[in-house]
Amino acid sequence: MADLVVPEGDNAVAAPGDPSRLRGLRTLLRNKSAVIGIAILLLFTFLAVAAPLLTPYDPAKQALESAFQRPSAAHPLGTDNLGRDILARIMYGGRYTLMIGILAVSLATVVGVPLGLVSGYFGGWVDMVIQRVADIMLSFNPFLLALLLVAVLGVGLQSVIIAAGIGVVPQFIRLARGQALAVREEIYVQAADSFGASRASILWRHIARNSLTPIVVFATLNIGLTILIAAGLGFLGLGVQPPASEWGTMLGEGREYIFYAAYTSAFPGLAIFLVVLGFNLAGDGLRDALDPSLRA
Amino acid sequence: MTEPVLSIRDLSVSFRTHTGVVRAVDKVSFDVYPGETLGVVGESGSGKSVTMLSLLGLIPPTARFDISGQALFKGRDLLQLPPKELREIRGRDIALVPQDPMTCLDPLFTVGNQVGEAVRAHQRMPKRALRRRVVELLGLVGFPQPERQYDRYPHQYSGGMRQRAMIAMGIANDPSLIIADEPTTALDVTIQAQIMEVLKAAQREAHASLVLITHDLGLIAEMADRVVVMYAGHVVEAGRVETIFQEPRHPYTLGLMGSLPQAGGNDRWLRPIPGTPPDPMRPPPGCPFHPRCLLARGRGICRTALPALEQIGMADHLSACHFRDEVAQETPTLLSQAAEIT
Amino acid sequence: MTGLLTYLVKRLVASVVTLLGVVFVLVVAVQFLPGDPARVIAGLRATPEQVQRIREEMGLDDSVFVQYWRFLENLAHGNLGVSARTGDSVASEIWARLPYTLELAFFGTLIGAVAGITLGVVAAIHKDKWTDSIVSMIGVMGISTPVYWLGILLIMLFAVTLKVLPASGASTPQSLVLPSVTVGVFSMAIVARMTRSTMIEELGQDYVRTVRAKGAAERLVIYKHALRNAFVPILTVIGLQFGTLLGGAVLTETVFAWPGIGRLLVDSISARDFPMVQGIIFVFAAMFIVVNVVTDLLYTVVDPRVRLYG
Repeated sequence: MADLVVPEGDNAVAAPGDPSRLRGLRTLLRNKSAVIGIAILLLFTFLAVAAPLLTPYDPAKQALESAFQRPSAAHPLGTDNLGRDILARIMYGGRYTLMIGILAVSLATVVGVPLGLVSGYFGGWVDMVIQRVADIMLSFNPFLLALLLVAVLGVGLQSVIIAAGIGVVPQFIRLARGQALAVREEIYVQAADSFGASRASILWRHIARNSLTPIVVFATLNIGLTILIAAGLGFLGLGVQPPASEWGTMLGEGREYIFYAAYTSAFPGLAIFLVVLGFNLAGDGLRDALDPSLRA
Repeated sequence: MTEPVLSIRDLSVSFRTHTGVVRAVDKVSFDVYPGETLGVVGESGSGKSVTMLSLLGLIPPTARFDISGQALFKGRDLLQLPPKELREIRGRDIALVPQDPMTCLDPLFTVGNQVGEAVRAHQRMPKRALRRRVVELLGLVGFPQPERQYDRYPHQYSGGMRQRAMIAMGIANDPSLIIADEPTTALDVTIQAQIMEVLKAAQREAHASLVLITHDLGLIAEMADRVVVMYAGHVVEAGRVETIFQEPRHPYTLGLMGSLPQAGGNDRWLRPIPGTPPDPMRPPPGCPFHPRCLLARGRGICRTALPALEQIGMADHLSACHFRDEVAQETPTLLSQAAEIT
Repeated sequence: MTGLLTYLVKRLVASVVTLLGVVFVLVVAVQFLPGDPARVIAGLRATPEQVQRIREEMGLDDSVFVQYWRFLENLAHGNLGVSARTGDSVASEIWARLPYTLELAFFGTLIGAVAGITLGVVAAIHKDKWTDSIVSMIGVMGISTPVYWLGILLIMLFAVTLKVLPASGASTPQSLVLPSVTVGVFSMAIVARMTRSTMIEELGQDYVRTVRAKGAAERLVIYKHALRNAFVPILTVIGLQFGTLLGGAVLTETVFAWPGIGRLLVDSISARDFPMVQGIIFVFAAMFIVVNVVTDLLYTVVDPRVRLYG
């Protein structure tokens, strides 16, 4: 419809890869759900970091005489089966959650993106091999993959980070590969090729710089997933081990008591939900602010 | 003087976007008479498509737009009709043959099914009668062996054949008015003539008026009885086709004529009108054409006042230019000036 | 028709190759496991000679490739090894429980698909209005909700408080309700998002304008035309979601004590029953691959272009 100028009263006009970070920031802040997401994240970060100052309770200290207390003024979220204050455990537990989320995704980015870029740019049998491997990994889903890795690596915080990170690696590979393929066609990359610039430097400078936005957005959106995976492992008893107050582990421990002390599971679960929601809302907002063309 | 089939008065359509308000159509008025072919000419972005689409309520519902004005079709104002009644008119009394045949058909359904849908939208018919009617229509638009074409899919057809199918859909219910939006733009030159023949035959068959929207002046010269020239959402000139071609009374129209390739003439080089159409979000004050107009010569009134569409000379010839009377005398000068610039 | 056949064959070959790759990964993974599978089978009080004998029996000392080949050979005979924990055939254990997991996955996918498509269509029709925002919210919340937490919440509400549905087990038809809904929520959210964006895109297409121009009812525009065209990408997503669903099934089965292979997997990992783990993961991968191929086949039903040209 060349003649018909029917502008949609929709997306803000933001050029892809717009260097004006300030405009992006303003668009982001205008997005209500993104702001809510960021607020949630800031809240939980604050709670996690300032936990020792905010609560008098020790998350690991047992006090069997005050087990299973319902939420009250003294224990705003109640106590668990070993008398530990749930609110305190959640606050300290946030440290695990945030750490796992960020480290796992960083791992996935550092491993997956270069593989994907190399695969996309060089093509040929390198591409085929990497693609086959990624396909195999994708034929599980991230959680099953993580589960398998935990079976091999054993349990504990370190394994969880690695497992959750590797679990989402195939997606990063695919994303980076797509980016590399798209950018490879760009004329200026081919032009730089003809100037004799080394292939590695072409790769890093041109492709990496232009793909930065989608990768950052994708990474943010995946933090929620890695947190869910990690907490899932914890729930099954295969993640961060007790007495550590990782939220998934707390949920799993509290499962036995849902019939009379449901709050032992409900609150940690709520925390997981809120933090993942926060990352997802912030990630969506980030994507809309930096490059709306990435939507769906 | 017979009553017009369609009478548009002061139709304006503007779109509200994040970056501003777009005035796509600005107080457009013209009439369409029974049985005639009216050409609507203009560059891309002149608002010609939007005008016709807005009449039928076919602007995408997700766009935020405002319409004002009046569009009387057989006495009823289309712009005021409730959706249900408008829907009855669409496809039955007023038919649209849209622009790009390649994308206008649903790839998942047979052509026969889709033409049949046009019929079924307004008439109840048993299946066998429906099929017969569809085959009849397909034959009318020139499909060889129309029986076999019924069960074929759009992707099995060329552009020209798809356009025929679109025309078949258009005349399915014997409309009084057919609107053809750039019917040949997306087609090969060789096919264009054929399709125009089909369209003419269809118009005859349905005893309908035809509104032909195009930027192809050659098409207008061949097919149209009367012409409306649009620029930047305004009507700048209107009249009989011979008059417009021989004695244009608006600098823009003159520019268009001057840019026609003359077969075998001295003017081997096309003379495009210097400049570009205005930004629809920031229309220039006064006359929309004045930044590109060679007749304006810096005169103030062109910058400040919007010229009204007024009759000039004989009846039925209208022009919206402050200096419409000068155009005739200045024609040779203006043409040679344009030649110098380009 | 030949176009379709070649396509099908190509897909099958690709699937088999992937599956072989999966098997390879599994066999290799066993090499790196902490602890000794043979020791687990032999028991804590076995002598080193006994353990060594079991190792030889199981062929654990052979090279990776020999083990790989043996696995495939056994597989051809329907033999997935012997459980280290119970001594029963892995295949038979899986076979007994597989229907439960399939049931869960099927109904979960169904609920997710139906609810998701409905929400997506509604959101697309009412784009940018309140309904759309609500559906968006539901979508984001759906993908942020941990399955295990949702399951527990549903149990709390329906089983404990309202006492309408059973909290665990698979004894009655009603016991299928909560687990299916739990496992379907994530899928629903993703399908809803995809449906919405695809529908919006389709509704903006030229052919939709043609249908409207014919004067056809809006109902036809949306359901007969736009939705049907949107179905191909939506179907892709639903197929992909099946894989995610299987992962969710593992957790859901644990929460609801559902006797499927997901729970068996968790128990086996805790108990270091590697043959069982190997077998179950293989079955998961196979299921996922099969679903992918079936999804591809379904395209041909929906889209005549694929049917004729592959």
